[in-house]
Amino acid sequence: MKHAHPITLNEPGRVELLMGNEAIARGALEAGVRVAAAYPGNPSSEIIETLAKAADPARLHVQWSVNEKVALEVAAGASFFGLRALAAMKQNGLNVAYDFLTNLNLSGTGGGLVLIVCDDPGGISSSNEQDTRYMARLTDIPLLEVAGFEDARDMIPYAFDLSEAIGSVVMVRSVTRISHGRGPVRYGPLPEISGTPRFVPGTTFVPFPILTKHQKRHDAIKRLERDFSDAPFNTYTGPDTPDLIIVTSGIGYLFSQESLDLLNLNGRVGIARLGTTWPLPEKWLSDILAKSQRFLVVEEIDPFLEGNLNEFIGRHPSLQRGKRVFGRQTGHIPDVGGLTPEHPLAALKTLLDIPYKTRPDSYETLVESESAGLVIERALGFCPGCPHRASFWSIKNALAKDGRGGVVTGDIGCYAMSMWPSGYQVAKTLQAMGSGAGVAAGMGVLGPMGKTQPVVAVCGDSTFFHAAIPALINARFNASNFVMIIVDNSATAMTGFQPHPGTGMTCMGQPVDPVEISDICHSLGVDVTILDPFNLEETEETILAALREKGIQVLIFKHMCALIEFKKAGRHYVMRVDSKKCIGEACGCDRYCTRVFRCPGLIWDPISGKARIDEAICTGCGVCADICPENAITREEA
Amino acid sequence: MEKQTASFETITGNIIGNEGCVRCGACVGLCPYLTLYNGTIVFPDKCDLPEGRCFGFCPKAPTDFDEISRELWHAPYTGSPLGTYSDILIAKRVKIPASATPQYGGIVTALVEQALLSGPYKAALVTQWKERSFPGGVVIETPEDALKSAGSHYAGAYSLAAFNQYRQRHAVPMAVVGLPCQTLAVRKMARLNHPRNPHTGSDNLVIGLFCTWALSPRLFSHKLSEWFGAEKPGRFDIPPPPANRFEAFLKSGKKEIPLDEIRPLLNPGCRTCLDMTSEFADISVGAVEGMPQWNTVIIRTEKGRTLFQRLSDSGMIETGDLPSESLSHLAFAAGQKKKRALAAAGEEPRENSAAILSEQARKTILQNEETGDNPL
Ligand SMILES: Cc1cc2nc3c(=O)[nH]c(=O)nc-3n(C[C@H](O)[C@H](O)[C@H](O)COP(=O)(O)OP(=O)(O)OC[C@H]3O[C@@H](n4cnc5c(N)ncnc54)[C@H](O)[C@@H]3O)c2cc1C
Ligand code: SF4
Ligand code: SF4
Ligand code: SF4
Ligand code: SF4
Repeated sequence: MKHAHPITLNEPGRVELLMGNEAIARGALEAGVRVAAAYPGNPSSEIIETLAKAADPARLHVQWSVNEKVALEVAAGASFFGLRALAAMKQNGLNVAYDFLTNLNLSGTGGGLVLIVCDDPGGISSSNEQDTRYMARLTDIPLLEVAGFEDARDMIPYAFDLSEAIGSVVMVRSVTRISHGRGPVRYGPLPEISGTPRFVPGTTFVPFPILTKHQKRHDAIKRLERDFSDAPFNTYTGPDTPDLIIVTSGIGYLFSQESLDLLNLNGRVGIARLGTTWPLPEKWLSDILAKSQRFLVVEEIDPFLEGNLNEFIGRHPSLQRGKRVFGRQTGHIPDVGGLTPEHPLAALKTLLDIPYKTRPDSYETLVESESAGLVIERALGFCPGCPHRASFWSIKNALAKDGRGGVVTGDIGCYAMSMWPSGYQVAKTLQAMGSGAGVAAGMGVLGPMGKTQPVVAVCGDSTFFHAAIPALINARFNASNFVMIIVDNSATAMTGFQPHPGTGMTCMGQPVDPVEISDICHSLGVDVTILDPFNLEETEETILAALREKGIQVLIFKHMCALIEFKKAGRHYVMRVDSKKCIGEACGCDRYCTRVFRCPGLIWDPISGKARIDEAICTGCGVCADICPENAITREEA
Repeated sequence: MEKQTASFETITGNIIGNEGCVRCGACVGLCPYLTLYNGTIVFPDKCDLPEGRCFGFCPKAPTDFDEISRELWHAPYTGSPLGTYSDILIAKRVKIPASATPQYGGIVTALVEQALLSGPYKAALVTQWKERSFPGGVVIETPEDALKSAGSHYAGAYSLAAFNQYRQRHAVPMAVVGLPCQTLAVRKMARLNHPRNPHTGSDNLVIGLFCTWALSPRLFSHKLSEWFGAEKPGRFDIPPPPANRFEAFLKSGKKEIPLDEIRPLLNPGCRTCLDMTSEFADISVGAVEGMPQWNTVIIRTEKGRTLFQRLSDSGMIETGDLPSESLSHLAFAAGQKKKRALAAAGEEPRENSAAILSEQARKTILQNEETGDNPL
């Protein structure tokens, strides 16, 4: 029998060191969640991965959906059948789900429905650093913000109860530093799972009549302005008449506490921590505002709380006299990016005029240089043996040979790194999931206006299922012309190898027939060629031929992600650089393999003036043997 | 090694990027950074070497004409229309196999055969119409193969790429047939002081062709398929003025194309070329006006003389005097080419036509007679 995962243990009082996302998952289990759906995306992916450990078809269905909108729809379907359900996503994902959400708010829900969104301040693993809290306010749904690990567990059952109480989806927001941080979490009891899903006859979940439903949402928000004053997540600590109050939420809470301790300001400054950031708790906040004249808002990412606080003060004439709010809008905290403990420290120093030496600007550079020796230097780029490197190598060469200044539209996934030297700076546009194909579809209709440059859209397998299919259908329908390259590494590699429709395995470990990308394309009546990008010559020739064709040419570059392949099959080839043949920096090569091809598995040895294989990381894919102009790189079957 | 002033960017930016390339091929076949595809040079990646062969070989990169002239004749480059020579005459091959179609008198082919027969040349670089629709360089090792490459392919052929490639494998003396730009490149190749130069000190024989201009291979090949479909002409010719036409010989017969349709296909880089008669060759060969079965032959060096002498002695060819009127027409045309090139170079960025000339040579060129019709 399989060992039970610690997350599934029904041992109230047990303390586990959990990642924020695991704590959220535990909270959902303690709330008796029955359906959980998501599309992978950092920093949210571990929520579903953790829940999958407790999955059981009769009690808890967990799934990777093809995209975030479908994930939220799947969760809503369960909610309409009276079950507790959740959908998890990253900030960009909410945009995809938003169309559904802006109607779901009006149509209402059945069983508790919780939407968990993990924002990525600083865009550490994202294409933007969008603050999704505004989107909760925009849709009149309540917003809770997780401020710690224990909190993460506590807040989820509360959110489910709240959702059922107001008949609406509730949004819980986490951020990278909580989702990916770790802390001790005390378990509560797991409930008995019972109850058969049932759609209550006579119920409807529709947004009509719109005004009535809209009014209902506003009424609920009004009610919560009152009720949230008693919410357990809104706390005040500090003196009764402080010089200043820090108003904070999320990770800002921990950082604020840390600064007060460091500066020894606990006697002068209070901390008002909000767990319910929308709507604002009327009475509780009025009491806080009465305590002091000055407020520093510490939050990630945009001045959401800060703006709402100013608006709140504006609506309450009795509170207005001499109150001042500081934060991102006043320049006391930087305008953009995530928080560090340094930010509240620096703001406090200025506002209270205290002599604390904050870190000099040179600190970051110093840390970087000091730590550089401890880690292997690695530019942002593809892994050793990555099939994407081979794909972009051929795309680059084919476009140069084609000579018409072809344009490559990129997409979201590992292969987005093709904007950088690792992918030979091939991709020239990058926006949302699937938009590479959509943008190419637009470029591809400009021929009759005199466009001569060919267009190539590059899209990953998971991205294809997520959002590229409608763009492809659109292109076919509107007689667009471009080459669509689907780099199929059989994984959602960037976010941690989650299965997708093409991989033939669900997240609950159930084998299913894979959905073939080529079948989908064939059914659209477009030309499809499948090839292995490790075959450089054939790949380049195929691209060149496709560039000369009219209409839509789909090329599927199929090769398993190097990390998975290596794990499964080990090294294919043992590689060696023959130092007698290697000419290194000399005319005829100029370090072609390490300077231009740039697989990290090859390293330049400046002392011998030769390249060599880094046996520790070379995956033995063998591709570099085909690019060395001197045939100095040899491969031998492992 | 003296410091090189040119760089990879001179080739990709100033020359190729600025339409200054004459498709000689001297920069190709050396490394992965400059390669041929469909009649053009492609360079997907950047090379950052300060000392390189490509820009050391390129005839369109800065070239000191005096240095090369001094090395060959111990005399500076004068700018005279036909360059330095000892003899000028006409010649033709006596017996030509029915299967062969030499351009005019077949002297070039005969010289190649003779060079391979009597040595010390172990191989020869010639140009053939290769697969697809582009001419390209071919290295032959036996005299019997020479006639296979007879005929002029008027597009630039990058033939020196094959020369580079062969030389890196075989360090043997070779006979090289080339256009004036290629003749110049071969001299630069032998002179470049570079540790990986496969041509250093090589004992080559250079057989130069006359050339007023060459066509851009991509444009020409495109037009050919437009005009003739899949059928490839066996031979082309440009009869001397006032014919004003380009002729293509197909199985179905001769097709004539007005020169006006050909002009847009010229290599822009040829506009700044100073040389019509391959002045730096050991022996130069061209047409004779009004005598399509004959060649004009200009003997320039001892090596050239020796080979031509052997060829005459073999009885394979017949010789005669170049009519004095033809000589003056030839000199006039060559002088005009120089003058036009100098003017064109003045309009363009200097790197495009980086011929380094003495003031004296410049003056001589500009004083060339200003009469007669202009072939371009
Ligand atoms: C682009 C071009 C322009 C020319 N312009 C003139 C001109 O303006 N006036 C003039 O008198 N003569 C010109 N010629 C030279 C002429 O056409 C003959 O090549 C020359 O007279 C030799 O004649 P032949 O009978 O000995 O040739 P053959 O014995 O038939 O030999 C021809 C030789 O030319 C070589 N060749 C063919 N095409 C090319 C090419 N594209 N690049 C390099 N080598 C090539 C072949 O390898 C072969 O060895 C030109 C030739 C070319 C290729
Ligand atoms: S074989 Fe070459 S390309 Fe492949 S991982 Fe090793 S070093 Fe990189
Ligand atoms: S490409 Fe080949 S010759 Fe050049 S440095 Fe690498 S191994 Fe050496
Ligand atoms: S310098 Fe050498 S290696 Fe660099 S492009 Fe030129 S020939 Fe190639
Ligand atoms: S002129 Fe010759 S050497 Fe110069 S760039 Fe063109 S092909 Fe290369």
